[in-house]
Amino acid sequence: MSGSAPPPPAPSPGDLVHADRVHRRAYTDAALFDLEMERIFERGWVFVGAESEVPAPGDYKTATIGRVPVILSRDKDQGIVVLVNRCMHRGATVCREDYGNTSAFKCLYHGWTYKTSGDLIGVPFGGGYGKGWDKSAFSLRRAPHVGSYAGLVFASLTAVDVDLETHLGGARKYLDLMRDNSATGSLDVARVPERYVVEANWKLQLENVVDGYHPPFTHETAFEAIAREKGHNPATTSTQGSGARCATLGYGHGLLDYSDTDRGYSGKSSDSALAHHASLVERLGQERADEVSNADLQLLVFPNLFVQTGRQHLRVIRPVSVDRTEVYAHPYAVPGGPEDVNKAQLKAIAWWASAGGFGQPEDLEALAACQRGLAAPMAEWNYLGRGLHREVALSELETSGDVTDEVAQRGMYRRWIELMVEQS
Amino acid sequence: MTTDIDLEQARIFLDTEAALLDDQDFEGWLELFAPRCRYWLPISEGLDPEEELAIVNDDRATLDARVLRMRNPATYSQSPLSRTSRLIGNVLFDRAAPQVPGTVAVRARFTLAECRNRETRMYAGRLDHRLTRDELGAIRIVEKRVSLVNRDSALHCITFLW
Ligand code: FES
Ligand SMILES: [Fe+2]
Repeated sequence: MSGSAPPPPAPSPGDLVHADRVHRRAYTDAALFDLEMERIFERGWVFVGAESEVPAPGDYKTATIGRVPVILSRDKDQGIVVLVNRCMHRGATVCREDYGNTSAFKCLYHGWTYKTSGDLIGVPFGGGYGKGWDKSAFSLRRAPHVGSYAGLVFASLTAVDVDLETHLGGARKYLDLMRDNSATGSLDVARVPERYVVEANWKLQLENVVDGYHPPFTHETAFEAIAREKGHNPATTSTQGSGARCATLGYGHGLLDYSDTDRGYSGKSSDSALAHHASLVERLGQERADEVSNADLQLLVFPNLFVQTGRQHLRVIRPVSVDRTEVYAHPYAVPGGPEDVNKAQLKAIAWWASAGGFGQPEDLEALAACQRGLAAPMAEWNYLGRGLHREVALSELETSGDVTDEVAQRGMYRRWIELMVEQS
Repeated sequence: MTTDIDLEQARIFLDTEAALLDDQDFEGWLELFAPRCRYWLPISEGLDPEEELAIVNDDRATLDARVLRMRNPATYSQSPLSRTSRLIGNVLFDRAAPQVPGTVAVRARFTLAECRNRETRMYAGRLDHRLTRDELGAIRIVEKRVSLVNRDSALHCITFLW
């Protein structure tokens, strides 16, 4: 039997993205997906987890950076480190739990044992490797760059072109609003997430979380349910000219900003919310406190983190293959924030952002439909030109437009090109 | 109010409930619930939906809204509707469940096949019903908990009714 034909080469990324359009092969080509994992996820800054998920020495969480299994580990001496979850003997993952606390990671295969900093400390049956064998060369591989901002931990497995603060770019301004809302300066992220499958390319999922154009259509019946309960249909604040906006924040990050509208989600006028606001005024002064309380944000931190303040949760986007993505949606509590609001998030996230919810399932359906339609070779381009003629540069990093415009998506692909072409 | 529900009655009730769902008589199914009720799918321990994140956590109002939404073709995740077929078995009184006056706790196992858009998925898990009788003597659901064996996996759309 003859061998199968070699897979076709990946298309050249530079040919797939223009200012207002993206080629279908960017979403459908398996070889290109591999290249993305290498150039975007296994290089550059990627979100790994929140410090609050591993609060005590010895705490750990397993995650992935692109295709690479990693451990977010809080070592008692070295603090937070990100380890490649791969035994340096013969490859087994040394940590097989989602979360836990341990003094060491012991491999299940031949018992090699690593400290929570990754150092190899135990190899069963001494003398098996001869004299002068250097154990230290067999420490778990560690992400060379780890940084944290507002309690969110990011890492890079190889090189970075910029430091974390620079990378976060215009997103920092909005992360700061979330940080300042918290008495501890970070968010208390739950260890149990909603987990769901998107039968679509990861970039379609990214485009979707900052897509302010689709909600009145895709989520029509969810909005009707809200309208029946609260007497206010969110569709009215998710339309052109509502005052909400879509922005790109540099480095691929994107934003839907509903702060100047009242979506009626947050219960800002409850007694406990007012008390929280009063404490913010004390801590931050009136002007900043108003800004913080008023924030109603949906923030994409490229390439794999999404934070929503209206329903308090963050989502980690996990590319699996060219046409399959998984999302983990973790509710968070705001330390010092109103307790009833913090507690209500559990129900709110189940209601919207779960596989059985009133919101997410329609997005899953829409994204799967896009992936199916993109199989058509005679229609080559996805058109992302909405609002290109009316977007406004607000600062060096931030360009903003109407909430229904595709400003954030265009920004995403500018960064995509930088990472896929210019730095390769 | 009496809670005389024997195991045979509980078994028939669960089978009847399953038939309503598989026949897509969602409104008829909704009538089986008490005016104050809980319908939920846990992700983790399945102890208290107020304290832990769940996949679904409905009270009567959200359950009403859920059923209403099923009938709207603009609910794209259920348009077309899922076809389902489920088998309920191993029905037992749950002696380990907390005693709540006026109710009985019934545990069971289920397997369910779902087909939508010509894609079929299999589900299985445990059912926990807390049942009562209303003033007319009809059996009503106070709480229904559906614990999937794959509850902590990344799930496809599961907006059909369990
Ligand atoms: S593979 Fe880990 S000890 Fe052998
Ligand atoms: Fe959506």
